[in-house]
Parts: sequence; C-alpha cells; structure tokens
Amino acid sequence: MLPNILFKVTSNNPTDKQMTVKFCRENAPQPIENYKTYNISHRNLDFSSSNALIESIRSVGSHIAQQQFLDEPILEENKSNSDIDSIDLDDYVGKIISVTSDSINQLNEVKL
Amino acid sequence: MTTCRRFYRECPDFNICVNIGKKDYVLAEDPGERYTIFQYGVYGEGKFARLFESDYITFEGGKFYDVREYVHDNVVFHSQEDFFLIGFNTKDKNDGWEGRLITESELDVTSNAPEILHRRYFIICFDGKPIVNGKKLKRYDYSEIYPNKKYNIEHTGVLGLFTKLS
Repeated sequence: MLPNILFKVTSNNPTDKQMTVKFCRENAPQPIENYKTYNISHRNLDFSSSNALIESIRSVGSHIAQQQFLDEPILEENKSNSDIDSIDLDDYVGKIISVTSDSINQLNEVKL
Repeated sequence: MTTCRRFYRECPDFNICVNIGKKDYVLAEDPGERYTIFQYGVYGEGKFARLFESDYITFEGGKFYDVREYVHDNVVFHSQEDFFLIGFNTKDKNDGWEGRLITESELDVTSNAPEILHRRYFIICFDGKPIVNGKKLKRYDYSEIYPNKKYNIEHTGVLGLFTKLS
C-alpha cells in the first residue's frame, strides 16, 4: 500500500481540452517538481463535482506513483547477494537477505 | 493472544496455503475463500469441522488429509497445540484432483489407460529435504512429473503427489 499521492496541475489548456500534471507519493525522496509531467485529456476526467474530479485525477496518478516507487534505485549497500539454505540463525548473522514483502509469492518449480 | 501467520504460494496450476499458529487459534472459512482440498500437518494438532457440526477431523502432524468434501462448506479449525498446516488449493473448484503422500522409492505414473492420458502430475515437498532423481528439494518446491519416466526418491523428507484429472 502506498502513502498518499500528491498531484500538482502545472497547466490547463481549455482550447485543446488538456491539462498537464505531476504526481508523486507524499514521502517521495525528491520534490514533486523533479518528477515527470503528464498530459491528461479532459475526456479522462470527471467534472461532475470537485470530489469526482480529484478522484479521476487520482485514478490516473496512482499507478504512476506506484511505478515511481518500484523504479527507485536500490542502494548499493542494500543489495542482497546471499542465498542461504539453513535453519541456523548464526548462518544469517551479518548477511542481507532479500525476500518478497507480499504474503502471496510464486512456488519454486524444480525441473526433474 | 493466540496468533496465526498465513501466507500463500502460487503456481499456474494450484496454490499452497500455509498456516502457522499457536494453540487455541480459531480459524473460520466460508466457501467463497475456501479452495483447500488436501491438507498436510507438519506439526501440531487441531480440530477441523463444518460449522455447527459435531463431527470433526483431528489434524495431526505428519499426516495427510483429504478435505475435498468440505470445499463448498463453511468450516472451522481450532488448534489444540501450536501448529503448522500446509493446504493444497485448487484454482477452480470444478477441477478434479487426487492427492496422497509418496511412499514409494521409485515413482512411475505411466499408464496406457485412455481415460487418464490427459492427466497431469505434480509433486510438492512438504517437509525435510527429499531427493528426487539426484536433486534435493526443500519445502514448497514443486515439480511437474511425466509418464514414461521414472523418478527415484530418497525419502529424506515428505512429498505429496497431486494428479489433475482433466
């Protein structure tokens, strides 16, 4: 789950019925100004109320913010290079192990 | 507080549902979320039944259970000890599956019977580190196995054999 998403409309063009907007998550490591600008057609927005308008912008931005999150680089110091097959905790001391954060994961298939 | 850690492992043909918990944990499942058709107890003990029915199964460590008949029911589980259960889940309740633990040291699923030509076979490691055709498996490793091939098994662990019937 992501924290709140920020958006900043950077321009609006009623003639072309388009706007430009930036997205990032609230705890992004950079200012929102540093993130890419996206064009959104008014056709993809819901002008029936302010809540509906914000929700329609959010629906565009949520996957963008998620992708930004996934695309963030892994610090060299955080890279895991250990694949340990052991139930002895002493074997784990001092090593960085990478595991999925999700409770749903793929089963490991072995070719026999 | 009684607790239970629950997680899933997926593959294209079936899922595995794992429950690891403390004594006196109570788990209820309704048919909308229940896809478990076989159960293996790694350790511990607990009672499993249809909701409000007095008959129950006692899940015990080291044993395998066929729970296909419960897949459309509201069910409850109450642990009598700390427990570790692995469930084999079908992806579609209309699929037919058979399941059992493997006891033979040479497994061969070859058959010429026409009605079973389209069956598919999978083995899953539930415990230990069994060795199949020289490869050491660990818990939750799985493999599709095929007719006309022999699989030599060193029983240094627990393996389940699951057959997709159609």
